Order: sequence, then C-alpha cells, then structure tokens
Amino acid sequence: MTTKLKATGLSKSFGELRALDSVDLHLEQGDLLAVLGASGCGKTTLLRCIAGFETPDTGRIEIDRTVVFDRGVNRPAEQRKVGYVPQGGVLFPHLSAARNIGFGLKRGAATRARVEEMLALVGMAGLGARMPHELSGGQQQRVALARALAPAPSLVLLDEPFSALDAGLRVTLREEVTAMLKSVGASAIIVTHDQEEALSMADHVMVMRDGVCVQLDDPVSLYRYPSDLNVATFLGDATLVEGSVCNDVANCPLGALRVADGCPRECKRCMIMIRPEQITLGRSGGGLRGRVEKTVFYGHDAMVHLRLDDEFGGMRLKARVSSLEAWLPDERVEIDVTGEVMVYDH
Amino acid sequence: MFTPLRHAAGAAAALVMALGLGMSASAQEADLGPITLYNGQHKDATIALIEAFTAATGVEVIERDGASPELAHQIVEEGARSPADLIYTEDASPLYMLAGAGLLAPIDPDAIAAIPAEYRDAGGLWTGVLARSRVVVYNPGLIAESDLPASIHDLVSPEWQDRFAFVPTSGAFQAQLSAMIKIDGRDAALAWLRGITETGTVYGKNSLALDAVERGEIPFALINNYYWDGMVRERGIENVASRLHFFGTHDLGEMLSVAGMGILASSTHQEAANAFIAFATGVEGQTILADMSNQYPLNPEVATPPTLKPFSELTPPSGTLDLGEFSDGAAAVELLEEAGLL
Amino acid sequence: MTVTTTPSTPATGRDRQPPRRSHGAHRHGPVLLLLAVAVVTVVSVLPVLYVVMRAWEVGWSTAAGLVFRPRVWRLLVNTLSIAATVGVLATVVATTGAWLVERTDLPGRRLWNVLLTLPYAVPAFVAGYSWVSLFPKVSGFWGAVLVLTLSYYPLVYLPVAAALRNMDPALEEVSRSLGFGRRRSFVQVILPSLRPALLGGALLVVLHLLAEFGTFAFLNYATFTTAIFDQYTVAFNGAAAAMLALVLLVLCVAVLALEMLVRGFARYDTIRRGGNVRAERVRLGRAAPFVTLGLVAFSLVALGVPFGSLIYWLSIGRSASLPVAELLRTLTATAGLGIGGAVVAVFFALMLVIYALRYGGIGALLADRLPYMIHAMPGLVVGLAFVFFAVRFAMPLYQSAALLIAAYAILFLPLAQAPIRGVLAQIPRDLEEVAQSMGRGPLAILWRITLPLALPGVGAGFALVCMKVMNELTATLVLRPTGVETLATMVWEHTTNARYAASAPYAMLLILISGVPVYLLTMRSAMRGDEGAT
Repeated sequence: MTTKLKATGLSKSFGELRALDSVDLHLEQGDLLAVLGASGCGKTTLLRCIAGFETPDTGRIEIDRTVVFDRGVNRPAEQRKVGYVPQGGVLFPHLSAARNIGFGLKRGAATRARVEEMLALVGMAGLGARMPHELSGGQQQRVALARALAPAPSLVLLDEPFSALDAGLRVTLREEVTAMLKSVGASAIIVTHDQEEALSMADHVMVMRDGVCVQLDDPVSLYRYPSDLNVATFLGDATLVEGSVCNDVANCPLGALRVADGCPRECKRCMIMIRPEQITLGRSGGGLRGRVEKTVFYGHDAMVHLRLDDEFGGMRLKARVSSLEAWLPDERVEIDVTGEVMVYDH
Repeated sequence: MFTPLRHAAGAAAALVMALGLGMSASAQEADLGPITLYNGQHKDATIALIEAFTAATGVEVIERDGASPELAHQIVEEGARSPADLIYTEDASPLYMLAGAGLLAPIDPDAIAAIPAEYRDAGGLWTGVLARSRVVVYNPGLIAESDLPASIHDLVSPEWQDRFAFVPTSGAFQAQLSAMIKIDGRDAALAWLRGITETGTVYGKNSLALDAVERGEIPFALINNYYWDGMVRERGIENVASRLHFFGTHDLGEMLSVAGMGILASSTHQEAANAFIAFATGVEGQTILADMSNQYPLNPEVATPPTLKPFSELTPPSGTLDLGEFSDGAAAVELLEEAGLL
Repeated sequence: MTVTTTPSTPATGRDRQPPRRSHGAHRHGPVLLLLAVAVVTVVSVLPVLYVVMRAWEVGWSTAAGLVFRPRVWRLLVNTLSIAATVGVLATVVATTGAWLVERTDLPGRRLWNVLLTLPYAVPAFVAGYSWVSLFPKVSGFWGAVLVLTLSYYPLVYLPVAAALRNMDPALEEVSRSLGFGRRRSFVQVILPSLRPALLGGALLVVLHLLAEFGTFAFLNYATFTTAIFDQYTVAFNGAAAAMLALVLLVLCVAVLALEMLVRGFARYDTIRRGGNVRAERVRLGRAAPFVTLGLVAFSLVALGVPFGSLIYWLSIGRSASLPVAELLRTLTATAGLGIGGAVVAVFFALMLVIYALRYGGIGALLADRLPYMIHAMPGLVVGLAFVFFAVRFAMPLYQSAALLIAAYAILFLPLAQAPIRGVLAQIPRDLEEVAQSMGRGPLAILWRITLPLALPGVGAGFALVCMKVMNELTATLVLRPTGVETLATMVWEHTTNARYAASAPYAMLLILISGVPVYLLTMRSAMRGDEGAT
C-alpha cells in the first residue's frame, strides 16, 4: 500500500470563521474516503484546499509524495492532476457531452476512443452529441464523473455529487460510481452530508465539525463506536438513556448492559447510547416489557416505536426490525438489548 | 450696460402705431395672442425682447428653444397644425426652406419698414433682424495682421497650405459659397472649394475652429464675428489671444449673414405676430437684441453695440445680400457634395 | 431521563429535466401581454414608416444618385470601421475591468465597480467637447475610437460583470483540475460562457455608435448619422436625410442578423448551483499596486477629462454662476423624465421579453428585435417621426411630457430588454407552471412570480434607461413641452452661446445625478453578498 494523499495541520480561516482547524488526512492508494459533516463544517473547504482552489493558511499537502502545498510551495490546481466533480456536476454549457469528457485529454487519435470508452463506462454510450441542457440531472452527473476520470487521474475529488438527484437515482448512482472508481483503481475523496452515502460508499469516513476532524474510522467502527454523542446521533438513530457505569457494566432502566472498549469504566452519571438494531423484540422471554405505539415501514426494514411499561420506567424506544415482521399498535412486546453499548460522560 | 425698459415709452408708442396700421385697422379688437415663438437664436436676448414686448403690448409670448434647422424641420412635420406662430432663426437658410415649402405668411410691410429692403426676403415672407459678418480670426502670435491674405480667393495658393481652418458645414460658410457661385460662377466656386479643401483644415464647428486659433494650433480661421465676441465676453479681452481681421476691401470674406424671422402661414394670430416682428425690428427691440447678443442691428437708427466694430465701417461685398436664384443654398450644397465635404 | 433522536435527513434533491416548450392553453399568451406587445410594436414601427415615407418622396432616380455615390461609400466604410473597432475595444476593456473587479482580490472593488460604470453617465456631447478642448489632437478616427470606447464600454462591462458574478466558479475549477492554467481556462471556459453577455453588450455599443452624433461632430469624423444631420441642417433636405436613414436601417438589420448568427440559437443556462461556494479570488500580489495604478490612470482618462474640462470652464469663464433655484427646477424635471421614461421602457421591455421567451415564434422574435433598429436611428429622425404622427393623430399629446416619455421609451427600449432577458432566461418555466397549477391567472403570475424573480434585470434596465434619458438631447429639444428645461438642454443652451462656465454646474449635476442609478445598480450586486468576507 502506498500513500496517495497526506495532509497535515491544514488550517484556513475566512475572516472570523475558522473553516479548517489543524486537519490531518491520510489516504492510501485505491481508497475511497468520505468526508461527512453538516453544512458549514468545513468539508468543502478541505476538498478545495486539496484541489488547489483554496489556499490554506497553514499546513502541508502531499499528493503522490510530491509536496503540492507547504510553506513557500503552492502548486496551482492545474498541476496537481486531481480529478474534480463539483456539486451538481457543472458541465461546460457550450460543449457537448463528448467534448466535455474530452476537455482534459490531449488532442489526438486516442482522444475519441477514450471519450467513447468513458461514455460507455458511465452508461451513456451514444449520447455524446447531446448538449448539457438536453441531459437529465443524473446524466449530467455521469458526464461530470466521466470528464473527471477521462485523463485517468490517480486522485478524484467529489463534492456532494449526488445531492441534486432524487432518492432512487442517488442510490443507484452511488453504487455505480463506487464500482467505477474501484474498476479504474482511483483513489477518491467524496464530500457529503448524507451519512448513509458516506457509510455505504467509503472505505473510511472522516466526520468533521466546526472545521475539526472529530473522528476518522471505517464505516462499521464509526457507526458502532462513535467518539461522542454528536457523532453518534449524526450517524443514525439512537436511543439515549441516562445511567451509571460500574466495572464495565452500565446500569440504566433497561438493565445492566455491557460497555464497549474505550468507554469510561466508572461513571456516576453518564449517557448510554443504544442503536435501534441492538433492540430485539419478541412475543415472550424478554427482560423488559412494553407496548407498540406505531410502526414506520421503510420497505427494506421498519422502525417500531415502543413505550416501556411503567414498572420499567415508561420510557420510549425505537427498534429496527425486519420489514417482514408485523408489529401492530398496542401490541404487547418483550424487549431485549443485545451487544455492547457506548457510554459518554454526561 | 442695458436697462430693459429705457425706451419703453417710445417703443410703446411705436407699437401702437404698428398695431394701428395695416390689417389690424379693420379688426374690432386687438389680437392679444398668446403667440408661440420657435426660437433658434440667442436665448437670453430673445427672452429680454419678449419681456419688453409683453410689457409694452400685453401680448403674451410662449418661447420654445431649439436649434434653428431642427425647429424648421419640426415646423415642416407639423404642417398646418403647427403650434408656432413665429420662427426666429440663426441663419436665413431655414427661412428659405420654410418659404419654399409655402409655410410662411407674408409679413405686413409696415411692420418691417425699419429694415432696409436688401436685408429682407424679396417676396416679403421673412425679414432679417440682426447681422453678423464673416471675418478672419487670427492668432497674432503666429501671424501678423499685415501678413494675412488679401482675399479669401487667395487661400487656394500653396502659400497658405495647412495655415487656416474653415467650417464647410456651417450655414454662414454655405451662404458665402452661394455668393461666390453668383459672383464668380459655379466652376470657379467649385475650383476654389476644391482648392481650400486641399490647403485648409476642416473643422466640424465654428467654436472648435476658433479654439484652435486661440490656442495657437493654426494661424487663422474663417468664422463669424460673434463666436469671437462671445469668447471675449466669456473670458475678457485680456484673456483672449486671438483677434479679428476684416478685409476692408469688400471681399467675400467679409460677407454679412442675417438672422431672421418669419410668420407661419398656419398662425391664427397674424396680427400679434406682425406686432412682435414690428417690435423686434423697432428701435427698442433692436437695441435689446444687439446689445445682448453681440450682433449688428439691421435697423439703421440703432447704434452698433460698443464692443463691435461699427456697422458703418464694415465693408461687405456688394451684391451678396440678395443671392437671387442661389439664395436657397441648393447650389452651394451641391458643390459641397461634389467636393466631398457633405 | 431519556432522549430519542433521529438522524438529520438528507436534503431532497430535484432532478432537472431537459427544458420543454409548452403547447398548452396559453400558446399565444394572455390578452394583456399581446396588447402590450402590439402597442410597442406599432409605436416602434412608426419611425421606420416615417423614414420610408419621406425617403419615398425622393423618387427612385434621385435616391439612387444619392445613395450610390463615393461619399456614401466612404460613410459606410467610416461607420462600419468605427463601429467594429469601438465594439471590439469596448469588449476588451469591459472584460478586463469586470474580471479585475469580480475575480481578483483588487483592493477597493466596490468603489471600482462604481467608477467603471460611471463614464456611461457622461453625456457624449460633453465628453466630445471636453476631449477636443483639452486635447485638440484627439480627433478623427482614432480620436473618436478613444472617446467613444471610454463612453460606451460600460454597456459591456455591466452584463459581463453580472455574468462573471453569477457564473458557477466550478466551471473554471473543473477546467483547472483537468490541467489547464488560469489563462487557458479563461479562454476555453469562461469566455465561451460569457458569450451571451459579451454579444448583448457589444450589440448595444454598435447600435449606439450607429446613432451617435454629438461626439462625431466634435471629433470631426463623418458617419451615416453625421451625414443625416448635415442633410437636415446644411442642405435642408429632409427627404435625402430620410434616404440615408433608410440605408442606416439596412445596416442595422445586417448588424442584428450578424449578432444572431454569432450568438447562435444555443441555450446556455448555467444556473448557479446550490453550493454557496465562493471562488477564491486571484491574488494580484505584487501586481496589485500596478493594476490599481492602471485603473486610476484609466479612470482619470475616462472621468477626469470631462470633469477636468468642466472645472477648467468654470475657472476661466465669466458666465460662472450657481442659480440654485434654476438648477433644482431643471434637476426635478430631468429626474422626473428619467424615471418616467425608465418605468415605461422597463414595462414594455418586460412584456416583449416574456413574450419572446415564453411564447416564441417568428412574430415574437421580430417584435423583440424591432426596438433595436430604432435604437440605431438618430434621435432627430425619431423625434421628427413622433412630431409627424402626433400632430396628425394625437394632437392633444403633442409637446406633452407623455409623448416625450413615450419617445424615450421607444428610443432606449433595448437598454432594458437586454438585462431583463438575461435574468428571465434563467428562470425555470416550471415555476410559472406551478403557480398556474395553483389556479393563478397570468397577471397574478406575472406580478407575484415573474416580476420579483426578474427584479435584478428590471433594476439594471431601469438604471440604464434612466441614465440615457437624462442625457438625451436631440429628441428632447424637438418633443419637450414648451418651456421645460432638462439638465442636458441647459448644457446645450449655454455651450451654444459660448457660456461654458455657466453650463458647467448643469453638466456636473447631470453626471452626478446619473451616478444615482449607477450607485443603486452596483449596491444591489453588493447587497447580494457577492463581495463577501473580503
């Protein structure tokens, strides 16, 4: 494994606003990194600093072991050989799809073949003559990706590439793009505010907040072991319960639960985070009892909203269940919590 | 210098006479207007004239300013429904056009009796009011007055190459050319025009030609006296480098041109309009106009403004006041077009 | 106690469909729209009709003799060469200025934005005389090129600056990520995207030049329009003047056709995307002082010369005075006419543009282009045409403010059409359809949807027309209500009588009052926050 991109101590301020605050980043060859955060967290600024569209105040950036930014060094964007897919694609409005894709290629006999190849790769063979305004949003996005990939850059940066698309198209394109990037062996950074997108596409996810990198991990670890409450709730549904920890065991109205590694071992008052997937429902034999309030059906799964009986504290919980199971309102349920839980100082 | 109502009493008397004469004699009551004057001449002088006229007669005059040629074309387009009763123009040429188009009414001869016949339209359709003289303006720093050409005819000589300016598109130059056609014949005039086009420098406006002489960019220029007089008034003679030269030999270069007035045929206030012309050509009106605009009064009873060379000392060429068949300027325009100047 | 949270939901996206042309119920547009377009078309046709009618009087053989002679050929060459040269130079100057203000970290950009727009507020006849009186060498072809480029480049500057401001920075960024430097990205990506703005502005410059008279008269350069004036004022031949005006109209049609050819029929809609990313401005670095110096020198030339000569007039003239009451009265009349003309022009421009964009067709195209032809006609011809028709068919309106305002609107309609078109072309049709589906009538849609969205273009059009109306002289002299003076007529009045010092306060006031629309125009863009945290 070789290092593709290494950024250290990147900071950038816009007046009073600190958009980037000592951000470090490391990307291996062939990796797909998602930078996840709410809007205004600095993720786009990070991307633009790497691309060379924005000049960091301090820090150092290496691409393929070449320093492109450091004190006294600032390679212009055009020399960084980084593919870029801006928000919404942004095709050159005066050029056809094919000429958009061929824009970054050296003029020559091979160009045409390469453009055809890229059109085929993004599933748009035969549509090269179309002008941008004759393409749908999804098609524009594909052309934008093809344009970025055509000169075979070793690093591709994608800024919220799917945000303007409808849900169905987003999911399809997400998978296709991941596959395309992997098939050409490109390393990529994708900036997004959509946790599902980040978790499903990336090898690693970096969560940013207020210009700071809060956590960098693989998707599974990130979802299961968020470093703080904010990350936890940002990444997905969670039930938060107040309780205490003693000897790696969390005590709360849901019973005594096993605490994950790295959490406080002793704590008088703390927050316990439980994912809806950790809550299992049954018709008998659970440790807790409650009543179904409603079930929200999502197709691939369903979310059951519960209320525990008063003897268990009367609190509300959410449980993710298979969409094949049917839980009706007012139905009595037996409830269990499985796996380790995360605990945070209160 | 001038107090507007100095001659008020006398003028009023003259006016009552003018009104009493001619066609108004049969009218039951005097025509009190109001009348509308399209004015292409010096605005302040015209307004002073109007105020004095209204004070003397009670007839209200509505004044509308514009450039003379534009006003004349406007009257052509307005036709029979023109709001104007009178037009007062910088040069005679707009009046010739209007007369030719049948848009002017004959003026009561008594109203313009004070103006010598040579300064009036032969058909009685318009009258001259004020006169300007063609002159040479020169810069004494570049050329001595004694070295100036003896006649504008000499200007075609290579001796004057690039040493003088002229303004072929000005109405006065065109009148000068018409006079030359009448006196020297068409061919000679064309040869002269082509000659000075070679030797002289063309300017688009009289004021620009004067400025060029004043700044010493060119030794002399053919213009009208009042441009220089206006500059002297604006800056003071001590701040003006250039001077005027009159040929003093009845040369064409000293030709007179007139600003004139006419009454519209469509006017329903002929009587009041005639009264206005009578006032403008009378002693009081002429004094106001001449003093305020630095032009020569055509009424012989009125003295030349003190800043000007006395009218009686001018030596205009003879036979150039009535240009006969060339008076409408068409032949001159033709020559200008032939010489590629228009 | 416990809390249950849900993750923040992803923003719902919208997939932009390719545009489509409606074949629905309102194919021909609502009655009011049609009526407005019909009115403006009829009134715009009048000057053309007048010219044809007057030219007809010449008779065929005289007309041929008048048109096919060496002088006309020379006028044609003169007119076309100056129009082309000034068109190109104005485009270069304007694009450079707009790029510096919108894309670099030039200090004091807001101020420069105003200063670079202001030369348009200097009346051409003031600029012309200023140059000649301070620098007599400035004359002929290159003199006219210099003075007119400096007077008219803002017509290109304004739309290009707006286009640069609204352009998605990602366009350039993508190009650079593909290995092209700033310079090549500018040529290959930015410039093509600016094409509609550049062409629209250059077209207005060329049409202005065709109609220009004052500057050419001072700078001693003959064009079709100066020849038309010569025919009126020297030859007193209205028919011959109309004949030449007819040739000018043919020339104008050729220019319009050329512009359409170059512009092509392609749609460029670079709608700015949601991401509120600002492009990093190009750092001028060590070049900044030199660039600033260059701009200072440029402004000194463009604005300093007219102001300088006004001050010179004041200092040497004895007619200098400050008639406050007269100034105020003239100012009020000027502002009133300016605002009136601008309101009427903007209203009809809006109707024309909506009709052309939404209902299409060859008729709409012609109605949309007709005012451009009037724009290229000398003010005197249009003024006389209005005299002719008003006296015959609308005598009560003759020499009324209403007629003058109508003439202004017709003369300067394209100045409002261009910016309004720029904005309306980018408003998705869907928005109006949504409103329609909610049961709103066409008027309500216009008032509540289209107009508010078109406001930036309406504002720009208003400012441009307002400025030009306040500067207008020739048609004003012919059509104004008797006794009404504007700042421009007062300047003219005093300068024709060599009272230059007396004219200076009016000329200065005229430039300053024109600065108000310029200020509003530039403040509006600043208010949109485009100057940002810089």
